[in-house]
Amino acid sequence: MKNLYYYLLLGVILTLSSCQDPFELTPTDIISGAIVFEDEGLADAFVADLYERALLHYNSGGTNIEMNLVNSFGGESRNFAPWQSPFGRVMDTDFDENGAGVLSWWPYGTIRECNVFIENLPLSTSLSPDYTAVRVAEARFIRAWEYFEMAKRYGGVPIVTKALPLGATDEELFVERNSEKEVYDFIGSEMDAITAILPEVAEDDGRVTRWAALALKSRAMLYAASVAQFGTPQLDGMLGFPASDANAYYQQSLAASKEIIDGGAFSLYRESSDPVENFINLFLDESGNSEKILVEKYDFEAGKNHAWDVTGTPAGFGFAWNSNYPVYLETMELFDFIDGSSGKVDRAIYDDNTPIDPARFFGERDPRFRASVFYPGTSFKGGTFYSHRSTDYTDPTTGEVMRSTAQGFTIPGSDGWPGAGHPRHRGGNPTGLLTRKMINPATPDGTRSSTDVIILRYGETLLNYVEAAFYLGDPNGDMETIFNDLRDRAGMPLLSAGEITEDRIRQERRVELAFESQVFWDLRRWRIAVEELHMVQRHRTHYRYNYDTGMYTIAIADGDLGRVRLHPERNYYYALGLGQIADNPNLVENPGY
Amino acid sequence: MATAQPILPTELPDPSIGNAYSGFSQRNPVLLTDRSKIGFWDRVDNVFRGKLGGSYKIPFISGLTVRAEVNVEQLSRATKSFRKTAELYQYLPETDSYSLEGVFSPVSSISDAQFRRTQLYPLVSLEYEKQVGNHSIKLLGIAEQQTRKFSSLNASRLNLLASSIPELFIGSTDQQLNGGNSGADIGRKSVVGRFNYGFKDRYLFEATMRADGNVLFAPETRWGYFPSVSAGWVISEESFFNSSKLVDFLKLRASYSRLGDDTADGLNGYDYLTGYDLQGNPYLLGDSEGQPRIRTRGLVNPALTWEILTMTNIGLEATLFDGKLGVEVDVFNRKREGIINFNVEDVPSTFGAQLPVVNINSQESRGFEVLLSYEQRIGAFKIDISPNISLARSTWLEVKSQEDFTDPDQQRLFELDGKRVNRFVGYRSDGIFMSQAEIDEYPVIQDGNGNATIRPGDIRYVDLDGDGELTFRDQEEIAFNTGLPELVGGLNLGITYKNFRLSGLLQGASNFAINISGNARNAFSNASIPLTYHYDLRWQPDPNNPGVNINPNASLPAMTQAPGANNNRVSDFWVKNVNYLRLKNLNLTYALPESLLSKIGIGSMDVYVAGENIVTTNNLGIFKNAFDPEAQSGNPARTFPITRTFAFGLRVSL
Repeated sequence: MKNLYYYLLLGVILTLSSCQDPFELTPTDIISGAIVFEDEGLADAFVADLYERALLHYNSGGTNIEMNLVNSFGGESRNFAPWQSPFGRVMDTDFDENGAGVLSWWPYGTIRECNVFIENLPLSTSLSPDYTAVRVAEARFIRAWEYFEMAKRYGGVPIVTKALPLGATDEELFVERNSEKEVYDFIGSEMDAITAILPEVAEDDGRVTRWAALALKSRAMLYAASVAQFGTPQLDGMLGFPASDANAYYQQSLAASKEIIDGGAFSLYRESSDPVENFINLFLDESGNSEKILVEKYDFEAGKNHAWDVTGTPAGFGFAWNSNYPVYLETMELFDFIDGSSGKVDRAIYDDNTPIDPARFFGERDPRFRASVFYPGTSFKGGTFYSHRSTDYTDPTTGEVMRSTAQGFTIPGSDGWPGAGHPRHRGGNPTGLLTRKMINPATPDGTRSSTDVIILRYGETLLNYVEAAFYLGDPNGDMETIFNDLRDRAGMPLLSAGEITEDRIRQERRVELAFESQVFWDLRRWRIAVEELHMVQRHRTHYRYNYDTGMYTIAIADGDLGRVRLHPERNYYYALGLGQIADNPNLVENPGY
Repeated sequence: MATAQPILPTELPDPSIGNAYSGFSQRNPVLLTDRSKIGFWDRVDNVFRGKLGGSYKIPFISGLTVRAEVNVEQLSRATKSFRKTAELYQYLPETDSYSLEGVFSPVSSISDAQFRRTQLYPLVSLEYEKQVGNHSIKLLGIAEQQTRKFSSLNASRLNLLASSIPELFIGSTDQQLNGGNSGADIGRKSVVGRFNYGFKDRYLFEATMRADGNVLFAPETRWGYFPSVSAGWVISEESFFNSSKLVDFLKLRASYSRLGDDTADGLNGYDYLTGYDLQGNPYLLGDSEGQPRIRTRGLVNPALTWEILTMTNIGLEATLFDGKLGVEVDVFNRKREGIINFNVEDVPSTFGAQLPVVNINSQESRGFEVLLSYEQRIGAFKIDISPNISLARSTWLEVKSQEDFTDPDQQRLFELDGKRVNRFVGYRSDGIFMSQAEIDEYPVIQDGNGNATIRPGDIRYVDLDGDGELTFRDQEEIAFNTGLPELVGGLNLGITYKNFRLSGLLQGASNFAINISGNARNAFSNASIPLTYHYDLRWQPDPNNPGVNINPNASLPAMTQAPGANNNRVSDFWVKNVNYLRLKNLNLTYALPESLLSKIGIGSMDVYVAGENIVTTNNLGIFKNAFDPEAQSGNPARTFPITRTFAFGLRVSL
């Protein structure tokens, strides 16, 4: 018996001696920093992460609900649910001393990684200089993009172009703000530098090209020009520009746009003779689309997708979560009629009583409206989008005039006309209209989207060109031609040079770029955000249908359920925020906070 | 559950159509419980625990024993999830038809994951024990180590061919995904030496020295050395003591110990290694498969090491009056040093790097525990009662993981150094505005916009600094924090009379708060069904005159689908300090007389009635009945409530 214990003990000791020393364990998933800049695959993976981190467009939030954030701030549309940030955190929100709230963007982490890459990749001993030059230029584009995003929010911010080591002195670390002018000039000079390096045709779709660099310059310089022209310099020039700088920036923007136009690599998308179908497909067509300058690519099967269709498709068309982006009456009013008359008809007709002919009211509106918005009667996926609250009809058997408010009721003798639209499209919250731009009927029911999101497109470049040309007095004499290229593609009547006014250019931009996360920033740089947004009520539309006459009546009501959109004067420059100032006392806060 | 409208039936008149719509989107709580309709999520754990060990008394030195053992734990976990598509319909009585309102899991899917983990835990010890006269000595040495390795593999497919076969192969291969990894997440070594000394049973002394090493720290900082000592003095054993009749037993004890913690929040393991990690999702460039991404692990801190917990404890144990009264008192001080966090204070955000974790913060907790027990017989009654109370309060000593605030108000509100851990900072509220006139008269601008966004029925806040504007400076400490209460107490009570026994436990806590949030705060939040107090106590507009309230009990904001930012400020309107007292359980037992039972051959038989969570009282006012402060931090929709149970039973032993 005692021997047995000996053997057991021996066994234990043998087991012990065969155990691995726990201190010899090493992680298997850490990639050594030493090889990252010596291996093309790893360097590519580094740059891919920079693209992912950059705010090319908002795709954050549970189920990407923030894809609509900027459009909501711009008063174009909003999210359905008050508990989603593109409604709840847009309304009633005075961006105070705490910072820009949900719009905050302070991407110095991304900028540092850009700097690390820009500094280290050229030192590579095994990668070819041609390769490294292009990848470094891509990182410089992303860095400049991130500075542009900050300049739009805060004005001047510290320009950091070096990845400081941990042992850096306080003087190096606790930087001061550069002026807004310095930031825009930095973006301009960076784009000039990389335009010479980047290829004309990207080796992979989704990478920036020299055209993307020019398109960013075109946009950023236009912003600088607007702020110079319409803004007020503050904080001893840290914010704003001397008004005399406006022309120089307009010229820079114009020159960048012109280089893209003259380059001939792009043209307005004109694949369908029907302007509505054409404008719908512009945002969906991924095969040789001539208008795309830069896209953020999505592909469900390759592992990167978004939820624009899941959230935005109207209820009743195959998605569990749906109808999430209601459009305001005010947005519809910006879209004129194809005969050139104003889309903003006398609101007295919205009395729930005046008959309104949908064939005129919707059917003769700017084709871009019919492509960008689901309006009552829109054909979609073989069905029809309805948002009416009720239908009056004459009962064929009794001859009595009846009113139905039931979605499930089909008007007798009709071709499937329901008594009412889906509850998600009428009633107390919906506006009766929904965002259609980039809603892709090809996305399989219930799955997430593969539709590429357009970041820079030729149509915008043309609008940039026209706007800069307008303020410069049409230096090349082609403003009318280029403006009418857009109008013609849209299916709208052409305008003479004399008709191309500041108001007209701005309206065209708001219509063409509706729901593309642009309008809000445009209103700000034109310095009309206070008039357009600050406590300015938006409306929703209610529809009733008369089946006998084929006419709608429309009533309007508060579109924001009692809440108020705010953009006080001081919000042209958001506060850096208490946290940033405490973090670095050398940062001066913007005025008014 | 919170969004299921009670006016909608849980089943359709014709169930063959599909599932019933419950009021919002694809949600339906009844459907969610039905495996046959929506599928399942199952996890099966197979755990093998084995221990092999032996000991050997060294023959030529008496009292010396060597012991060795190996513990093995093997976990094999299979997780399977199977999601079927389920359509939800609403019945439309007007037309006797059904409309499709939502689809649960529009794409059917199946996923299968296998996880395997092996932990090996060998140990050797050497023990020596000796008794010489009144002196007893014990020496113990232990060497142990622990390794844990894991590997995992998972796969999933979508668009199942048939929804009755919960197997991977039934899914489409078009969008199949698979993944897996392996590695080691625990690697520790320890050497422990312990010395015990005792004189009679009067003086007790123990000293321990530990050396702990963890592979997750850098080689230079891997080892931590942690001593501890404790001593006990049984005063009642002293000769000078035996004259006392009052006190039967009296013991004084004190201890001091240092321990290392390598499981703290923020510690990811291998934090000293630089390099890059592969990121989860690809970026797309070109028409290829996704382009993988790598991201830096950030700056690293090779000096990262153990968080150290130092505990000092002084205690007294006594029994008095022939054992009728027992007293136990402990006073403690626990200090946590080297708490791991990011050193934000030293570099500004424009530096841009993900900062390394550093052992920088420290915290101190002090408190006491008192436990009493008392027994008394009065005639046929026997009463035993034992109350206990404990208080523990923690304070931040030094915090470097936040900005170095210079603004006095930011220091007052946000700086943690030297402040209690258990505090909640926010605004003071002053009821709600009952009318537009009250808003117009209120001299304080609450929204930075001339109160233009404030509506009747909104919360009024106090302008503490009196500058006429509500800013962050108007905040102060408004409550304790949510989470664990600082003060807890209980009372065990028993009364025995002949064969009856009544026993119960009273429990209470104080010095903590709940933050009423989510759909408990905002009616309709996330399409939820409003609670009774929302309805009864809301500021209610007159339908004919919407600016005027018609609810005499109005004390909560007006109900709206879109609650404003004003009503969601952090304030004492929603954050409430809690005190509660609860009769946790009560038992009445009757033991049938033995004389009766012995005849039928039964050892004992008890009949009892027992109740749990019978009565609770708290100080939450209008929210009194909506929250269980023991279970919830303020959003009743998110937690399963503590249930009240009553049981009647019979307990028999042969």
